[in-house]
Amino acid sequence: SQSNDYGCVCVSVSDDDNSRNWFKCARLDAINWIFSTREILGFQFRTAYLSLTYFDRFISRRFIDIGKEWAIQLLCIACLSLAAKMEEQVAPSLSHYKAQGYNFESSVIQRMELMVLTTLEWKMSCITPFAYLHHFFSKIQDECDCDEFLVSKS
Amino acid sequence: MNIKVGVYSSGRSISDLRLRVSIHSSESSLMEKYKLIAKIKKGVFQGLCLLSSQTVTLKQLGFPDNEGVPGSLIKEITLLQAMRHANIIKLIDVVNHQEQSSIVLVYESMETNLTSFIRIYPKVMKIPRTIKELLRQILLAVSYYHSFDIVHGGIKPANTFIDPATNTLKITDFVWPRTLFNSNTEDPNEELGFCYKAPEILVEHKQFSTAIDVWSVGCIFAEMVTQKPLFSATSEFHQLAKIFSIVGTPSEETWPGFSRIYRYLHIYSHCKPKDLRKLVPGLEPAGIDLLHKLLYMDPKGRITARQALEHVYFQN
Repeated sequence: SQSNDYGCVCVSVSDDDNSRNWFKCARLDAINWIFSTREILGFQFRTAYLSLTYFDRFISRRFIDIGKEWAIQLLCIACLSLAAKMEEQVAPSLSHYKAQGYNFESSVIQRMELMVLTTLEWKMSCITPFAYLHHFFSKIQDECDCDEFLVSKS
Repeated sequence: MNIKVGVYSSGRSISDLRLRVSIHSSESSLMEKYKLIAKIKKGVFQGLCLLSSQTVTLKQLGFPDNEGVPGSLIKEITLLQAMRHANIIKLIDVVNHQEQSSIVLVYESMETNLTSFIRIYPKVMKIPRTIKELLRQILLAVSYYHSFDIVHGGIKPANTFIDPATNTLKITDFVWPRTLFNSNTEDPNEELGFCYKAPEILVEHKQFSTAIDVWSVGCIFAEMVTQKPLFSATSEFHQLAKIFSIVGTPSEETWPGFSRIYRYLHIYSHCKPKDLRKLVPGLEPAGIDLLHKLLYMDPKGRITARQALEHVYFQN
C-alpha cells in the first residue's frame, strides 16, 4: 500500500483478490454516488473531484473491512460534505446527504468527518486539475464560450 | 476505533449499533500523545508531548453539535498548517478530543508574552535596538499573514510572545481570538483587547482590511517605548474618543468619507492631533515618523506592513 500524501489512485491494501474485487466495486459505487449526489445538490464538478481525492487518500491510509458497505457510504458522505465546505459558497446541512439504503444521523457523519480530517492530517486543500483547467480555459476564452461545459467534459 | 452508527437498512432499523471498523491507524488519542500539566485559562492548557518531551500549548475548540465540522474551521486549520514562519507560533498537531464536537490544537509553547516581558525586563525594553528588532519581527509576521490575504484581527501584547534568551518574537495564530465558537472564553483578567483595535473596526464592524493589523502594530510599537498602552480607555465606547483625542478627530481632509461611514461623528468634540514626540518620548525621529504612518486614521492611507519594513527607521 502507498501512503502518499496526495495520492489519487490507490489499490486496496489487502493481498486477497476477493477483497480487492469487493473494494473495486465499492469504489465504483462510491464514485457513482458522489457524482449523482453532486448533481442533486448542485455542486461544482471540482467539489466531486476533490471529495474523491479525499476518499482515495483515506483509503490509502486505512483499511475498511470487506463487506462493510455502510462504512464506504459513510465515508462518501463525509468526503463530499468536507469537499463542499472547502469549495462551495454554501454547504448544505448534513441531513441533505442521502445514502443508499442507510440513514446516518448527523452526529455519526460528524464523527466520520473528524476521522477523515485526522487521517488526512487536516490537509484539505489539494490542488486539483480544475485549478489549471480554469486558467487554460480563460486563456482560450475568445475561441470558446462554453467554459463550464468543457470543464465538465474534461 | 469504535464508531457509533445509526443504521436503518431496507426498513429494518438497527439504530445505535456499535460497529467496529478495522482500520490501520496511526491515530492515537489526545491523552496517549500529550500529558496535561496546567490550565492556563478556559480551554487553554499547558501540556507535554510524551513523544518528544517538548512543552506544548493545547487549545480546545468546541463547535456546535451535529452540524458537522464547521467549514470555516476546516479552512482556517488547513491554512494555518501551511503557514511556516519564524515569527509565527507553529501549529504542531490537531487532535480529536473525546468529546465529539471539539478538537484540540497543539502549538509550540512559549511562556513570556510581550506584556510580561515588559514587566520582567523593563531595562532591556529601554534599549532602542531591542524595540527596533522586536518591531521588525512583528512586521515580518504580519506581512507574511497579509501576503496570504489573511487578516489576523487580534494582534495585541498578550498574543505576542518573546523568548528572553534570544529575543525571538512570535505571534500566535488568528483562529483563537476570532473563532466564533468560543465567544465566552475571554479572560476578564486579560488586557483589554480593544485598546489595540483600529478606528474602522470600532465604528463599522463589517468593513475591514489588513490595515487593522497595522494599526495594532502601531499601538504595540508605542507601548514598547513607553511601557504602557497608548490608547487606554475604560471601555470600547470610550476607545474611539481616546483615539480621536490623540490622533485628532477625523475630518474630510484626514479621512475622506468618514462622516458617511460613521453617523455619530458629531457627538465627538473636535480634537487636534497631539504631538507624538511628547506622548512617546525617547523615540528617535524616524521612529516617530513610522509611528505616524502606522497610526494613520484612514485605513486607505495607512502604511502596509511590507512598506513599514522598508522604512528608514530600520535602515541602520
